[in-house]
Amino acid sequence: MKTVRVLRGLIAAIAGGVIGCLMILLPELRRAPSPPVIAFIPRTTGINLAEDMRRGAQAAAQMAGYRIYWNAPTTEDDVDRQIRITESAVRGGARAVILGPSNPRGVTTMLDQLQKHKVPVVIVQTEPPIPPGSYLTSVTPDQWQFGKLAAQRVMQITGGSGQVAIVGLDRATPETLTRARSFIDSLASHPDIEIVTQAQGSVQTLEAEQSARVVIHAFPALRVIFAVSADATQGAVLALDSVEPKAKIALVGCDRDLFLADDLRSGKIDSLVGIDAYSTGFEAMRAAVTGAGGRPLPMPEHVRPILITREKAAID
Amino acid sequence: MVSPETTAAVSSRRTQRRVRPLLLDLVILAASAAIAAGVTAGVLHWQRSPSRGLPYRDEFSSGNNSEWAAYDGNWNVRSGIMINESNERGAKLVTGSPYWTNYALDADISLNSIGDAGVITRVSDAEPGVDSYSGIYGGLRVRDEALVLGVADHAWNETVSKPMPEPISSNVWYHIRMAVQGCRVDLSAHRDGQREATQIAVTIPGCPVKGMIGLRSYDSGGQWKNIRVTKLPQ
Repeated sequence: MKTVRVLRGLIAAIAGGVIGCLMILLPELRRAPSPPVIAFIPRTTGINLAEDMRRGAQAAAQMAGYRIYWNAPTTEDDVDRQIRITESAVRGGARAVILGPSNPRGVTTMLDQLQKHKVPVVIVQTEPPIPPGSYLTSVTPDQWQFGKLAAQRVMQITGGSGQVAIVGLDRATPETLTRARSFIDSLASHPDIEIVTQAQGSVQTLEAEQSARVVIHAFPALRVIFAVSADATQGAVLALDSVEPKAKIALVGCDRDLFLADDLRSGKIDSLVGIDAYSTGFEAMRAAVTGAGGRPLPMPEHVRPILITREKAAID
Repeated sequence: MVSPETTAAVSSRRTQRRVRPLLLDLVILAASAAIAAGVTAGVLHWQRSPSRGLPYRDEFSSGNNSEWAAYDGNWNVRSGIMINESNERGAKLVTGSPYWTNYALDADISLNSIGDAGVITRVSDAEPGVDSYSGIYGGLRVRDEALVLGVADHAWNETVSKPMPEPISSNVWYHIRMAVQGCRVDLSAHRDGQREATQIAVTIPGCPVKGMIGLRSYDSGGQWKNIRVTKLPQ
């Protein structure tokens, strides 16, 4: 009888202990409901282009009552990390994904999987590696226009003759190849413009700088460098800075990114071809919201780039 | 022959015998619930005390950095110096209590290349990624030779930057101090051996209110030593 009483007391004490702990801990575990999430995973973040896109996407998301999950790899070429971040965001409940593929071919399998699981995906920054469909669309720059605008500027700078170099070609970022091809096509009818080299690029600024420096030293009569990406433009700025005496080489760059706008204003860059990243982010989010709401994604959209010269940047 | 009164008394005693242990069980239950609730609340209060673990100091002398959590980067301790050999954007190393509120963080830092490097305070919700944390960053930026301060909330919002008196040199030690008290942030930095510091003092509306400390670099490796955190008045 006594044993039973002791046991009962013990059980009451334990139950009381558990209840007491839960009384304190349960309110801690309760979470306020949060709005639905759309993941935005650009190539990398913390740079002007990405931050402008984020601001545009943020505005569109707020209007639609969505929250952004914003994250990206710390280097632009880290496709494995980008896949992990995207998959983790989807596992965490993201209703749609906006993706700027680090390497379009590297994310093909993931995109197939997302389509299979009916997760709407909007591609930005570069063309999608697979055809658009019910769950895949894009809001991307018109890459061909980049090369055309750059060629027009080169014609103005050179007056139609002289040596021109292209730097920053990178197979992992197909838009660099498209921009270069369109640039060459646009200058094909001007035989006095000589494209002396097409140099490989890198997302590492120091490597891009080294590549540009080699080109500058190899071609002393160079009139213009066309840098087909932001990293290539940044590398060319650093390389031109370090050339003594200062070479009279005009730099036509691509993408309003990194600190290139400052370099444009200070005259280190002649001109930049770029898109309105805020609008791109805004439109991409609007498409993602449509998909997240269960409606068919809009058709792919191309954003036309503009040429910003030093003079125009100074006015802005 | 048993009288009805006797039967009633026996019945009452039986009831009492049944109820009394139940009452006792209830008392034990209530008492232990109250004690457990009190102890749990006490432990939580202690755990969440903004003073717990302060002052904090890490000289990296033991080579043991297990109390630090790395989010990207390639972090190693050598001869009392924490080194990040990676120049990826936004590598972070975080330690301390998530409940620290008002404190000053002192560190000596040296940049490896052209990006920027510094310290972060009131860090929460950290994960791998460039600005993937909530907190306040203060650091030296080679690009515009400036002391820079901003808030990260899984995105970067620069608050202010101030030019350094001389170009920032790689592999030279700078002392940096960030004091956070309420939403007032005082950031200062000076080159080792020099007395005059570049200073920033701002109030950041809607600032992060509590969190850990950390080391961070962006597009540059870096070196950190003599990490100290001291409590400031609440």
